[in-house]
Amino acid sequence: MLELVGIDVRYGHKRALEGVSMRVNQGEIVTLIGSNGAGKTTALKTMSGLIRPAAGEIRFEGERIDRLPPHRIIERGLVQVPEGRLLFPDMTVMEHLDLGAHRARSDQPFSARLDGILSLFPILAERRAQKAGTLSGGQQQMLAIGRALMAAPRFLMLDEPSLGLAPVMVDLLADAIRTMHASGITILVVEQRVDLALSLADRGYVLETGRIVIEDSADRLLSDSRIKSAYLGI
Amino acid sequence: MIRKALPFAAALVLALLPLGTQSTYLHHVMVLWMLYALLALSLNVIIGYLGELSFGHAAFFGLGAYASAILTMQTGVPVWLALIAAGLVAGLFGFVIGYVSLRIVGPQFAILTLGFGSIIYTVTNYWDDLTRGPMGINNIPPVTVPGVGPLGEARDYYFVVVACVLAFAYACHALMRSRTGRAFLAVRENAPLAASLGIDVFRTKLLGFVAATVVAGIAGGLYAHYLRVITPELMSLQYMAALIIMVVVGGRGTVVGPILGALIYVVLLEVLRAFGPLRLIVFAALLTGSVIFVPHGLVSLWRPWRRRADPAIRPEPAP
Repeated sequence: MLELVGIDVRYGHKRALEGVSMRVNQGEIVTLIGSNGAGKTTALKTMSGLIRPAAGEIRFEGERIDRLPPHRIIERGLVQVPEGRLLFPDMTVMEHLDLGAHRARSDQPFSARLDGILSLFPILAERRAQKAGTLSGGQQQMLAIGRALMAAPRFLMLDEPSLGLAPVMVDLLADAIRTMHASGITILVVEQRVDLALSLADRGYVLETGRIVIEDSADRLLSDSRIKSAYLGI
Repeated sequence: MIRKALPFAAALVLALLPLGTQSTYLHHVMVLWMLYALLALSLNVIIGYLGELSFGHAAFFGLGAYASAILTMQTGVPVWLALIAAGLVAGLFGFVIGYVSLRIVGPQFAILTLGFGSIIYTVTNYWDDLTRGPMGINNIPPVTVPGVGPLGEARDYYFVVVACVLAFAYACHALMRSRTGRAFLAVRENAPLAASLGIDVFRTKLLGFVAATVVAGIAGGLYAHYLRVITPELMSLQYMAALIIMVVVGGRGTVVGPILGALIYVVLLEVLRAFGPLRLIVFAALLTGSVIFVPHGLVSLWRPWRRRADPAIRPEPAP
């Protein structure tokens, strides 16, 4: 469904990504793991068109998207939930959800999508008139995901969804990801919580200083000694 | 209930204001207030909603004034048509200048608009054949309302301008409750995040910029046909600064703020007339003091009172 071939990204002279190639098939959950500064967020931003790669190709359903502006990419159903659940503190929950529908494909009516999201995250229905800045961390993450779902994604990218969440919230989040996946959304999740990511995912890629160093099924990655020592601390 | 009725009451008072006095001088001041209010509201779209500072807005005002004056005097088109043309001319310039400038943001954008504004001012000043240069244009025909005839009195003129102000104020209010308006705010608050949500940041900014320049052009046309004399001075730095003072002192990003700011400016201009150029120092002090002590403008002073009556958490039944 999504394919990266030899992607190079540079910030000035500094190389952030070097020859990154990966693919996510329809219906999969794939995870991209790696330590701080490995280039995970850069990779996601490049896929959603916020950063232009210096070299390489990105194909979504067979068509090149690496030269498209972000709003054209979202229209195709490739949607990102940014890291740190970036919200507009003075906008209400409902205003965020409406904003998320800015570029939604029209084959699903607005109210149906809204109902789906509010049943996935009932707390958002309860807090619909509340300003986003006054929500708890977990509620903010739900709103950030809900906002992305309003764009009717077929491919959802989550950047560090568990960052700074309480353990009970992390469990809720994992359930939500499984529910979204069961509803037919292909998912790429970037996580520092490698145990969580690998328990959700079918396959995984490991990114180190801008290069893909390991690619394998989630089960084998979980038992890989390099992963154990580097990311799981076992 | 009261909160809902308040804007209508304010609009009604504003619309009937000149009936409260017989003084043509006061009527004149009121017309100036409304003209500046229209202009400040349009600049507010750029400063308040898009979050960019434009020093070039007076130039679009001047473009509209000159376009409308020259069109009516040289081709004899009716004034109402010339007013529309004034908006289109200013909007066209706005589109070209915005298309070039809006790729950059912040102080660089502000400086660029200052540059374009100065170019338009200078060209107007020296293109004698078309604009009569620093002498300006006089004997501009007045606005003619079908069935009423030419508007000779300031009071009659007031009703025309106040209608424009109220219509545009309502349009701004409606815009900010729409999805497009929220896209404006998203772009202002966090442009990269807005882009990641699928908002075309450049197009959103261009849309707001062009809309603001169209309205500034119409305001310029109205100004020209009211005073019936225009000079390039209405594009000068002094006017650019005055417009920014109105928006910032009144309260950017609100509908009431720029109208209030225009009132303060016009009243101070008249009250301090005896001081001559020293007035400019008062205006500078006003801007400085306002930025330091009421950064969100005078309208923010009654906000805390309103907030208390408006609980942050307001659960609503599901639809």
